Amino acid sequence: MTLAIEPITPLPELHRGRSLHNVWARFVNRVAVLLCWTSALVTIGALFLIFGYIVYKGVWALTGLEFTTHFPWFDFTHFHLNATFFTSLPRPGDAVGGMRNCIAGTLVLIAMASVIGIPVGMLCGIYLAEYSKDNLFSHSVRLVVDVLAGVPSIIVGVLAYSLVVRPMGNNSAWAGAVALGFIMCPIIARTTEEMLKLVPKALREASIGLGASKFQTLFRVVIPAAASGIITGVMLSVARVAGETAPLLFTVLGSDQPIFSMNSHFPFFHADLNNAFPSLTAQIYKYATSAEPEWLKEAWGGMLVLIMIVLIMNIMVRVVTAKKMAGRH
Amino acid sequence: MSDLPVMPPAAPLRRRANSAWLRFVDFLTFGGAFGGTMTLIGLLALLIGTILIGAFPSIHQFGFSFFTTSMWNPVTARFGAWPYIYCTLVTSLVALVISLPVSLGSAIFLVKLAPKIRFPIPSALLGKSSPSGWTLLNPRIFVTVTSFLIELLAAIPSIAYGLWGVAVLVPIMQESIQPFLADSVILSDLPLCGWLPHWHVGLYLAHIPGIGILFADPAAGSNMFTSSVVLAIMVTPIMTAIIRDVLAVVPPELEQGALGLGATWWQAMKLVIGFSKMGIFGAVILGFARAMGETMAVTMIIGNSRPSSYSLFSQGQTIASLLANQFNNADTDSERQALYFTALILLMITMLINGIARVILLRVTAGGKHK
Repeated sequence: MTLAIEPITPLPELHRGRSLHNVWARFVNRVAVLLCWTSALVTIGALFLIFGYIVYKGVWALTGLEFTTHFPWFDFTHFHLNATFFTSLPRPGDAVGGMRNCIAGTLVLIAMASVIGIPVGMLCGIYLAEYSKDNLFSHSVRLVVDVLAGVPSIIVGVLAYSLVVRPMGNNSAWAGAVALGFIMCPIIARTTEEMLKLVPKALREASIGLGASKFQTLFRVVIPAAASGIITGVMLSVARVAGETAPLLFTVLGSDQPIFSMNSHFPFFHADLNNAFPSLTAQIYKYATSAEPEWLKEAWGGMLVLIMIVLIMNIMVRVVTAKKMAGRH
Repeated sequence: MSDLPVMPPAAPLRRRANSAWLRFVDFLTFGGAFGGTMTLIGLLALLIGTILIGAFPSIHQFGFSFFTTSMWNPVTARFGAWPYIYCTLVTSLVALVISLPVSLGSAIFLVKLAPKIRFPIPSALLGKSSPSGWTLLNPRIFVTVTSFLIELLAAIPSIAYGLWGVAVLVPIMQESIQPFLADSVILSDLPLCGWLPHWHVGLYLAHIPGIGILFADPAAGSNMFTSSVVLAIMVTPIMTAIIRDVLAVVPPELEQGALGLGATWWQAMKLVIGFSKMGIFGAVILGFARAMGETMAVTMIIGNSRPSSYSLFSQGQTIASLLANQFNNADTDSERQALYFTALILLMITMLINGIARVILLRVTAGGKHK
């Protein structure tokens, strides 16, 4: 019956940043923040190191300007644009040559690959965005597209070799175009799907409501609205394909011959697509693995040209998408 | 009655809106889109089929022993891919070990740490007008630019990494980093370090029993370890981008709750990392598949000869570089069939990993979106 009143025990004192444990935790916290900053800096530093070195060597190869020895960089007495690189064919040995045919060859290969890659990729993207329902088939199609995008490019080269080079009996531009087109397909399919899905549903409903057919809705309303995004995807895939080397090694093989020839037959310009074909990346690989100093120099020049193409395309893509996103919000 | 305006008769419709023709065009559109999809699926089947058919005689002849024997002899037509499989797995694994901490740190930086800056620019640059003449950029501009730079690293072609690696990285690895790891270097002998004392510094890893064989004989710079470093640089931006997306969908209550209970920022981050460990695993195996299939940079750096030992510092040959070097000039049909077999192994591994990673990542990011 006695009412026992428990004595109130005082609460333990709060450790406000004084205990050894807290000091350790705060120290670890500091170190972790520092390491996160460092890793971001290391990643971006790697970009600048690699890119800077390629620019340094490439400018030296194309203009004779050396940043380290010709110190006052505004003194352009050593600077002479090496136009030979863009106007001359590859020459054997230590003769000064150029990569005229290789640059043209890469552009021709990209165009041929686009003819294969853009229609197939865009059609698949349209199917995924406009026709597919939330079912097993569409999920497996997306998985297939992702898996195709992840297939190593050298394997695609093996496929093009088996499908084109083997039956034809020799290396050709067709084989390279098939390989690059296969690489473009899944990239374009994914970006087209994403971009079409960004188009508001109300636009489609309005179009259907006005009595337009599915075809008219798609090609007059939805695709024009997503056009800049789709072009972005195409440019990204072109930038990716422009730098591909592995699938070209045993499909186009590379060549020192000019690709265009003139004669009196009808289109007057003829491209020789049925034999070994020049490509910028294949030529860079050939020159980079040789011991000839002149070839090595030209490899750096070609690398600068290639990396500028890739860089400019990526920056353009980024500017276009940034504007699109800014308009959306 | 007669003064009422008379509507002119409507111009006859050229074609009725729901005519059979339009329905036929719709059908054609659907057919085209479906056909494009089927082409892509057929492409995958063609890829697997072609390489399987090319490899079939070799599979029939060698079977499972192809994975375990290390003979590559076109004259006697005996082939085994164990050294190449070993090189492929080891270079990719070492690349992941190097790049995972860096990409995790970069991703955390991008999502949680990067400062939001108030950066005013003249309005005229944006083609706008404002009372002060200045406009504030989006405060996340720093994150956007950093993300873009990291993604740019992924856009550099493989062959550029190869050329840079041969010119810059191989000498550095040969003279400084490999001796430092395997044994020791004299501090003042390092480049730009002449002012430092003549101390021997190093990790002496080659002297540790057991794992020492991985670090034996650091003589040449063109080897498996250097290719791993280049692969690490190549997969870091990809992994960073995926981990960034995975971390971005972690519910903010987790971090806020931990901070409210008195955890430090890093303790809260550990919870966030633990929460998204499946997504990070997906990013890691995606990077693994990417590293295994990378060809040109590895071909230029790895030395292209069969490894003489298990050491990371010996020259090697991955499956991809073997194909790049040998496929076009295979001497015999049997060698080409064996090369198809190695291509099949590479294809199967990368496809399997890509499939698993995509399924995992889709679940992780979709789960975040629905919350």
